[in-house]
Amino acid sequence: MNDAPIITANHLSWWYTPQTDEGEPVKALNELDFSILPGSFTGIIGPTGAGKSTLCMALTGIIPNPDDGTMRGTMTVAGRNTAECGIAELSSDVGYVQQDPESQLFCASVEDELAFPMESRGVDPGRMDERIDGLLHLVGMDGYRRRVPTSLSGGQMQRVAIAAALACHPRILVLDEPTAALDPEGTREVFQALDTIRAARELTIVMAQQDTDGLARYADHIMLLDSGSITAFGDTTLFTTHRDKLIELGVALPGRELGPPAIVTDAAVRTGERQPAISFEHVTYRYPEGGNGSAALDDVNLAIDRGAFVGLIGRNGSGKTTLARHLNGMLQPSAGTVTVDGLHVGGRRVGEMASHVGYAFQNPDHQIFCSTTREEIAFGPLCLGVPREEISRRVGRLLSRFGLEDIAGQSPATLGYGQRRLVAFASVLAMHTPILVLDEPTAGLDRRLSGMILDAASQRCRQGTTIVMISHDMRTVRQRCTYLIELEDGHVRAAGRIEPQKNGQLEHVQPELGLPEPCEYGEGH
Amino acid sequence: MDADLYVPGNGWLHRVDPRVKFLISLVLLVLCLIWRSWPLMLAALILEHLMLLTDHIPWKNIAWVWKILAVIIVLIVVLWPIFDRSGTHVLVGWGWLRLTRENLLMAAVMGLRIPALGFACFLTLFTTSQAKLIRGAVALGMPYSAGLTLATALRYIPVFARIVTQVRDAQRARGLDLSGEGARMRGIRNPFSLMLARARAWVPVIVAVLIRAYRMSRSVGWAMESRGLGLPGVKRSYRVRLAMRPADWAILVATIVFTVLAIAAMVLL
Repeated sequence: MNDAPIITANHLSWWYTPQTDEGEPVKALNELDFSILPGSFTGIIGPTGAGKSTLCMALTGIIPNPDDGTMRGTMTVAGRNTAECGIAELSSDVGYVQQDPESQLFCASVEDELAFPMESRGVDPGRMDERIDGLLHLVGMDGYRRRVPTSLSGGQMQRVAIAAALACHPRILVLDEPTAALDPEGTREVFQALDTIRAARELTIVMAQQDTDGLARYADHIMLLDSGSITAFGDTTLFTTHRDKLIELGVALPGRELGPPAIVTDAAVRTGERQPAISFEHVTYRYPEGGNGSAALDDVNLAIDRGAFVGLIGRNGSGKTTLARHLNGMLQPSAGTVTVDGLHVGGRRVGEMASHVGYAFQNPDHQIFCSTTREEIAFGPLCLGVPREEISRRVGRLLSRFGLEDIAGQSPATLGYGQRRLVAFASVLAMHTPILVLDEPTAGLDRRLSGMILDAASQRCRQGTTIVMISHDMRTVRQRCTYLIELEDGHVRAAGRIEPQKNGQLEHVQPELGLPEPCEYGEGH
Repeated sequence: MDADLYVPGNGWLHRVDPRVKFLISLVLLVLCLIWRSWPLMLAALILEHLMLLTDHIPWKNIAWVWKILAVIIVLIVVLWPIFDRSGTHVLVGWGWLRLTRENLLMAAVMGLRIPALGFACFLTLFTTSQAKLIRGAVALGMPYSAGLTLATALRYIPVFARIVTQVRDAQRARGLDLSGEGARMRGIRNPFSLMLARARAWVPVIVAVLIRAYRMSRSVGWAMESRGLGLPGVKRSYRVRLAMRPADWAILVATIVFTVLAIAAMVLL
C-alpha cells in the first residue's frame, strides 16, 4: 500500500442552494478534513441526512459541478481537484455505483452496459468482448452477458453496476448505499463481489452504508458523519469505542446475522375465535404478463387476527408484495378468496378498500405530490371524506409526532429522503384505517427514523390496528412482530405466532430509537 | 412488457442492418400516411405482421402493440364519422349526426392506419437492439448524443409505464378516485364535467410521476457521465460494427423497387 493519500479533503464544506425563494442554503458538508490511502476500504456511516450521499457525490465530481450549490475548501481525488474537472474526466479514476440499480443500468443488455464506458474512452472494439467476459467473471456473473439488466435480481443488478464502474480500471470505487434495496442474500453477493475484486487488484473503496454488518466485516476504516461533520474516523474498533455515540445517533450497530424468529404453530396466524381481520382461502395469483408462468402466489391459506403485528418475510420475488397487494385490491386473485376487515376484496376497487387498508409504500416518491407537507398528510383523509376539522386535528397531531411542524408549509418533494419517508408514512397514518401495510419501513433509514415509524405503528397496533409489515430486517421483525408469515416461491413456508420467550433472548439486538410515545389520539379511532 | 421494447432474437429481421430497417419503417410510414385506401392499408398491416411473425416475434408482443393502440383506434373510428361530415351517400341522418358511406370508409382507413403506422415503427423497435439502433442512427449522420437520447428514451418507456402504475396504485391506496365514481356520487351527470373531473383526478398521479421521473433522469445522467460520456478529446469507439451483407443489399433493393412501384401505381391508377 502506498503511503500518499489518494483522496484528500481540505476544509471541505458544501451548501445546497435553497429550493424555494424564501429558503436558506442548506449546509450538507461542514469543514471536512480527511485523507484516504490507496487500496483501503472506507465505510461512511451516519444517520439519515448526515451527508453520506453528498460526500459520495463530492468524491465523484457531481458536486460541485452540475449541482446547484456552493463549495468551500478542496477535494482532491487521484491528484485532481474535483472543482476543476468534470465528472467524465474524473471517471477515469473514479467508478460510481448508486443506490437504485434501475437508474444506473441504462442499456438494454449487460454487455452493452459494460461496453459503454469502454466506448466512451475509445477502447479498441476488438478488445471489448474479452474485457466484458473478464469483468463478468470478476463479479461472479459469468453467463449473464446477453441478459436484460431489469430481468436480474437486485443483487445481480448491483454487481453489473459495479462491473460497469470498474470497466476502465478506475483506482477508486465509490458506492452510495448499494445494498439499501436488496435482501440479505443480495447484500451478501455485493460484499463478496467487492472482496473478490480487492483480492484481484488494488482498488480504493469508499462505501456509504446504513447497514453496518458488511462494513464491520469487510472495511478497513469507518468514517462517522453527523450533520455534515466527521464525528469519528478510525478502524472498525470504532463500532465498539463509539458504541454509545452510534446508538445516540441512531446508527445500526453490527451484529450477527439473525434468522427468522421461532413460531408457535404452523397452522394459521390465529389465536382467537373472532372473525379474522384478514383471511386468504386457497388464493392463487399469476401475473398476466412478464412472469415466468409459475404462480406468484400458490394456494395460500391464512387467517390473521385483529390487532396482530405481522412480519411478512421471504426473499426478493417470494411473493410478499404480491400478497400485500391483494389486501386492498391492487391485485385480484386468479383463484380463491381474500377477505379483509369483513369485506370480500374480489371485485372491489382500490379506492373502496382505502378506508379499510392503509398502504405505506417503500418509495415515498410514489405518493408525494402536494405543494405543502400539511396538504400531503391531509390528502388521504380528504379522499375518504373525513370532515375538515377532524382532518386538521389529525394532521396537527401527526406533524407534531414526527417533528414536521417546521416544514408543514414546505413542499414535501424538496425534503431530504428521511423526511419524505416520514411525510409519506404520516399521510397513510392520517387515514386511520383498521389495517395498515408497511412495505420495508426501515429500509434506507437510520434507527432513529425507523424507530419513529415503528413506534407509531406499534402504538396503532396496541389500539387494535392490524399491521402487516414486509421486511428483510430480522431484528425489527423479532422486536416488533407478534406473528410471522414466511413466503417461499409463492407458498407459505411458515406461519404462526412468534414465541414470546424467544424474544427475550435478544439482548444483543440494538433497540430502535423512536421518540417517546405521545398519546397521538387518545380517543382511539 | 416490463423490460424493453427490443425482443431478443436472431430472426431474419434481427439480422438485417439497422439502416435498412430504418428505410423499411420509413417507407411504410410514408406510404401509410399518403394512402387513403383501406385495402392497401390492410395489405400493409398484413405485410408487417408477416414480417414480424416470420422473424419469430412472439404473439404476446404483437398483442401488446394492439392493446396499447386499441383505445386510440376505437376513439378514432367512433369519432371520425361524427366530426367528418363529408360524403354524398347518406346512410343515417339524425340531427347533427350524418353517417355517409364515405366518412364510414374513411373511419375504417383511419382505424387501419393507426396500427399500420405503429407496426411500421415496431418492425425496427422489436428487432433492433439499443446498441444497433444508436450505431445505425450515428452511421446515418445523427450525432451520438441525439442517438443515445433517442435510444435511452425508448429504453425507459416501459420503466416509466411501470412508474405510472406504481404511482397510480399508491394514490388509489390513499383513496384517490380515478374511476369517476366519486364524481357521479357527488351528483355530476354532465359527461363533459365527468370527463373533466376524471382528468383532474389524475393530477396527483402526473405530478408524482414527474417528480420521480426528474429524480431518475438526474441519476441516469450522473451514471452516464461517471462512465465517461462526454470525455473531452476522445473519439468514441463502438463495440457493434455495421457491415452490409449481400442479404441486406438485396432487401434494400427490394424495398426501393417496392416503393417505386407503389408510388407509380398511385400516380397511374
